[in-house]
Amino acid sequence: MARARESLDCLKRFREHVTAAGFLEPSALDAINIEVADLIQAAVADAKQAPVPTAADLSTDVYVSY
Amino acid sequence: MSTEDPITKVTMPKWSLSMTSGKVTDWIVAEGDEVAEGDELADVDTDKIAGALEAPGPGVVRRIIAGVNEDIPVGGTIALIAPADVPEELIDEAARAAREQLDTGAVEEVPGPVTGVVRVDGRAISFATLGEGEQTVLLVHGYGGDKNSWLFVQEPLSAQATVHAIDLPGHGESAKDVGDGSLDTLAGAVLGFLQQQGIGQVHLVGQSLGGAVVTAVAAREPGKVASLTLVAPAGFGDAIDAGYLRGFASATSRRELKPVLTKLFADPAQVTRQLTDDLMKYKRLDGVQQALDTLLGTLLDGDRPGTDASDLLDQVRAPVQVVWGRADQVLPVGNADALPNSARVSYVDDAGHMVHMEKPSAVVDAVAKKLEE
Amino acid sequence: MARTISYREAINEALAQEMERDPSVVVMGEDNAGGAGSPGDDDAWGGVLGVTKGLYHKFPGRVLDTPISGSAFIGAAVGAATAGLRPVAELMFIDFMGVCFDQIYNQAAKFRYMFGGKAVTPVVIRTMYGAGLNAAAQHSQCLYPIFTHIPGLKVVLPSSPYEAKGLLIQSIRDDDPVIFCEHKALYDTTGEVPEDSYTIPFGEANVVRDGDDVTIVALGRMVSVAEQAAAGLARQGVEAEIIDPRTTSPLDADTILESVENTGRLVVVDQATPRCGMACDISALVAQEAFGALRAPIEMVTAPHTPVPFAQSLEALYIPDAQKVANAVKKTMDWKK
Repeated sequence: MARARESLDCLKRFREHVTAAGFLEPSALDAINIEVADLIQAAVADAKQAPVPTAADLSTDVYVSY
Repeated sequence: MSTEDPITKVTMPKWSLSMTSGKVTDWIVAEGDEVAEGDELADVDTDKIAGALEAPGPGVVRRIIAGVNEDIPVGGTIALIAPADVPEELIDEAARAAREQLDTGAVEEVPGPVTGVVRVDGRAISFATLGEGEQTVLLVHGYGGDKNSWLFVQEPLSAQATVHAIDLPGHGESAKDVGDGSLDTLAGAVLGFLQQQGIGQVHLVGQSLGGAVVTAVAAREPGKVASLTLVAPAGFGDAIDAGYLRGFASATSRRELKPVLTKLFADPAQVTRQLTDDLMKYKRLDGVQQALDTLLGTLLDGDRPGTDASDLLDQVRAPVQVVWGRADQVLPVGNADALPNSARVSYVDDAGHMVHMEKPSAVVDAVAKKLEE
Repeated sequence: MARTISYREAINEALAQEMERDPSVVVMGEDNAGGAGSPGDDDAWGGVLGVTKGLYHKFPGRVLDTPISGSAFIGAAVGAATAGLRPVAELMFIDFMGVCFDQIYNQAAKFRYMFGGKAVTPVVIRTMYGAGLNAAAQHSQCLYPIFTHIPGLKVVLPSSPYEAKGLLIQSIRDDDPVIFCEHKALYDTTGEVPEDSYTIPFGEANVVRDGDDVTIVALGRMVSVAEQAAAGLARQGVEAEIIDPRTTSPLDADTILESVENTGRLVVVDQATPRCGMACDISALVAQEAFGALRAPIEMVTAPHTPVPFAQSLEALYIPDAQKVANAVKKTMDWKK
């Protein structure tokens, strides 16, 4: 199982492939990971301190207009 | 109506291009009744509209041919009117022939108005023409209407003149672009039509907004206009039901539109589902909303009339006459006081803003008088 | 100018006029161009029943033939919609929804909701439904109730050429995912349709016929079946009011309820199978909201709970007809406590 994870994880394989072939620098990939992690962290923090949705929010954004 | 034949055949009229048959839903007169020209004989229903059939001439109702709710093709004889002294045998013979025609389906097809389109200032202008008389009449409808609203007037008048009915820009089958929607722009479209059809002299008839438009036309080209008949015209007087106009423009469904339309007629039962549906279909065409909204700017200034056509009358040389329904809720009949004394006004009982549909003989008679003068 | 054209032509015209007006409208589906690239003017088939004929030449590059992979191209249409195009994708037979249903109900229907209002998915999925052309069980179903069930989708069922053009233009201009359902037996029917572009709002039922004795709610092809039934009933002195909801989602409950408040009797005619369908949906709505007005139990006329038969004799029995509708009406008229 652990061996499968090592050899078949496509995220790993992608990174190896594009950096080995010189398409992307590892630093570029790291920067993307950091950016995304930051975005997620900010979104989660936002969500945690946002007011809890109420009944009035039940049908928000189901449609643009109905 | 032949001058030799003493018997007048009352036939099923062709009230619209698509009408092929109609039914008498109620006989208002009975055999033996004496009638004058224009008297209501029967209520007639077609799939598009219901109306009252008027007597084409005076006489006694000698025979009723069509049964109630019997489907009669356009042109089919439904009753016979003749002087009281015409022998019964002649009536019997005519009645038999008429009945046979109906039963065998041998009724000759009645051609309706000929329709066409001209281009004026880059806009398509749709029109319908009936009749081949020497004189020419042009009928111009009102806000939100179209050339078909003249159906009860165009047919009778076509016996005496060439009668055109046009769709103003923004309406009917004409282009929906109204430009600035001003009286001038609309008058320009009418004048363009007259020019393209090679019409030199014309008797102008306009209802509501159309009344203001034909006044503007007559003021611009006084030499072209033989007479001016204004039917509940906009542009004269202080009173206007702004709520009606705004309601008509803003209604987005049949449910919203129906109560607004009842203001147009003396009898609210005239607002049928068919009428409301047809108007909603019109309102949903691309460009119509914008046209109606733009025209509101011409018709209204806040809650008051936005157009004053009374000054324009100073430039009009032709005789002016007016027909107004006493029960008009949209442009109250009191507005007629703003017209000069020289304009002859005929007030019509039991008619609202759509007097040309409710009591068409009043309009037909007025125009016919001008044709005869 | 209104003139007589067919349901098929009305749909074609709606597509052509919208593509003319809005460059972001594209058409895609199996054989939507059809044989495109062969020489000659008339080469492109324009869809299996010719509905998209002519568009390929009028709008080069905007009518795409897709591979026979509903999951792929419906998914592509949904994605393209979120990225700024307004695709009109054809799911040739509604029966094929199974292969792409996730793209429709889990993706398209939910993007806006799950992305907190940030996504807009203005995709139209045109699809053929209905029995009557002997196309058998896998090509004749009426699966619009399943789409109706999904919040986030809109479902449209035009019953005539006038409705088809106006509702399709409305669908293309609508910013939500729309399932536009065309009954395959209606393509050759004709009616008066304006040349100009026009719209018909969603959630507005059409009262096709006025009547005081019974309300008949009919969907799609069943509207003309109801009209036939009503003509026969009128000769027996029963005046039926016929309501065509036009859209099952949103549904115009007000018009239906208003009508039943007046007539007191309801018959719902739906060509689909009976379980969990529009007939039940509408009946329950009326039973709940207009119970006091009802003078008789509600009657539903639907297909039986079976797949669509291939044998012509059986298919004829499968589809609700005017006699079945008239019988249902009579039941409501004759009912005594």
